[in-house]
Amino acid sequence: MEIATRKKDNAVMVSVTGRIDMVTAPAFEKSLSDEISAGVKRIILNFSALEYISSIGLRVILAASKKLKEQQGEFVFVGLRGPVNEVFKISGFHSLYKMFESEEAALQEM
Amino acid sequence: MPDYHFKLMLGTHLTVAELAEAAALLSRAYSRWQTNPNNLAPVETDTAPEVYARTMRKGSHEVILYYEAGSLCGVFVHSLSPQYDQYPLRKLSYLGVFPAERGYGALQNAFNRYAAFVEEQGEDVIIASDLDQATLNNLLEHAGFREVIDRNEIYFLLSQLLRRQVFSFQKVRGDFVIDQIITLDGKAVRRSKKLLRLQTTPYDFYALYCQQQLKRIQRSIPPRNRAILQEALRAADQGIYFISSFDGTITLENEERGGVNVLRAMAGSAVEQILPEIMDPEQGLIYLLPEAEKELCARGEKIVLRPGFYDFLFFCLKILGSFFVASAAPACQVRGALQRPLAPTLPLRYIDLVETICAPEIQMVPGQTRKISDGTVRTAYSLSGPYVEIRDGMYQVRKDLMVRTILSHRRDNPAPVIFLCSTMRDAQTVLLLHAEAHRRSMPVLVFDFGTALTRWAGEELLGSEAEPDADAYFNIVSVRDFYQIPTMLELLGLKIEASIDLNVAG
Repeated sequence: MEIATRKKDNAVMVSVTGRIDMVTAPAFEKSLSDEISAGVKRIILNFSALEYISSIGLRVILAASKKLKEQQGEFVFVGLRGPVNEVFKISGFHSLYKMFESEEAALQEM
Repeated sequence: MPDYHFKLMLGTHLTVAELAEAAALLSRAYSRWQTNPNNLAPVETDTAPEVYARTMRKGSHEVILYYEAGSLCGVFVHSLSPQYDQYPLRKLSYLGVFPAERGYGALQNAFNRYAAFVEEQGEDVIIASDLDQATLNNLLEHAGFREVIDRNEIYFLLSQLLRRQVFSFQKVRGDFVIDQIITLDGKAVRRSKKLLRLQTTPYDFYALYCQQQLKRIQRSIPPRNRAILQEALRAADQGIYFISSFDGTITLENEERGGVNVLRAMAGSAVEQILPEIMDPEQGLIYLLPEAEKELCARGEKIVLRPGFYDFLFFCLKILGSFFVASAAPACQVRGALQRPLAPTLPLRYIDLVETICAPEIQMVPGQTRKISDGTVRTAYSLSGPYVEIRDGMYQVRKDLMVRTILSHRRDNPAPVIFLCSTMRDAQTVLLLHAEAHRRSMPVLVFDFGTALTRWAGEELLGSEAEPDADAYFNIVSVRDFYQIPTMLELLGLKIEASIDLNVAG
């Protein structure tokens, strides 16, 4: 798994490549936690290059969401496709978060 | 004298004229729906009369023909469940109604008469109705159909009794939406539906079923242990660990019930005769035919999965639980079995919902062959990986090591660990979990798809006078199928909606 972060406008883009599973979830968790601790309120998670996410990854997202909400912040998602998109649908995450086709569309909305 | 009447028979007993007339009516109904502006998600399917004629002629369909003044005005096609002689339940799969008089009132009369006819038969009926068929849904509800909103009840009715695949099930803005993939004449389409039931009999099968599951829990788990489990299930959002054996648990091994004996599949039907020749436990080798690894993967695709496993994986994901496989079978075979797609049109495989597969790898040992008495020359394959070790001069697959590895990722997660197994092959693993449950105060619940392990645990493991508190965190329940487990967990205190706090985001 690789994580790349960059700032744009008033948001932080976190792009994740590869797999979020039991082995890589701690690093993903730390990445989100670092941004939230730094006071970031708007995080765009770009999953367009993410091949797989397990329920451990979903739990990390949910726990981070709760912390972000305390700061009146929010996550949005970009580029969900294939198995990752289906996992989000089955787990109900589609109804919890906003989804966008592109980072530009997400930034415009935010 | 009523100016209407019904005829009910198996579809295969319809006369040629009746079949043609009924098929034409259904074709007219579904063709009109396809072009109805209220149909917000029209799907291109073939609605020719021949499609419905073929469907009605299936042995699992009953057909109710509705006549007004001698003219055919309605067709209701009921699906029979595999256990239709035990449960008086039918699924209304296709319908078309064109009363002689126009207007909503005439339509409502027809549906009310249908409901009364069903009651005369002493049956209940369910229908998975498209969400956007508002008129139909109103007609059904006025005729006495009520929406089923309990998740487990929906699975009980649709999956367990009627063996239909429910792909997904969400509560959206207060409405329960079933995301179901249906096939019509070979074409798979995805629909958003809700389940409606016409209850005319006094039997609430689901309530009876739940009562039996509750009794099973109460008889298997003492009150103190139940309280500990209930507390642990409150932390379900931190991730319940489901650890499952493979052979005989996820798979059906009983060949008479359609299962696959893997050893026979791997080594040939005469495997018992040549077993001593092809196995070399001291060297950790097994002699297989060439290209065995590919063959094992291919065999894996033919393995029969236990009914309900599909639904169970969805349940695990819904509650954000992690599902692990711990198996002594070769990893390529387990992967082969789980790489199949979950459903047509879905870009998701079983393996996509599995966190990790812990299983030994097999590797060909180049240049090492053996001539076997069946005339074949077989190549040596060795078991390898972190879970294979030599003990007392013999290679062994250490399932307990797999479980230790999985548990090492759990850290101080208070949610319970659930182990799924089926035979005494897992006795060592159960022993380990019993010890860890006590040592870590870690709630463990073992679901045994057999009975021998439960009996053994009751006689040999539990109730030690020396350590009376050793069992407080360990529990074992015998079950028959995967469907019982979500129901039992909810009866023990698992709250499904609490697994995802819907108030979290926005």
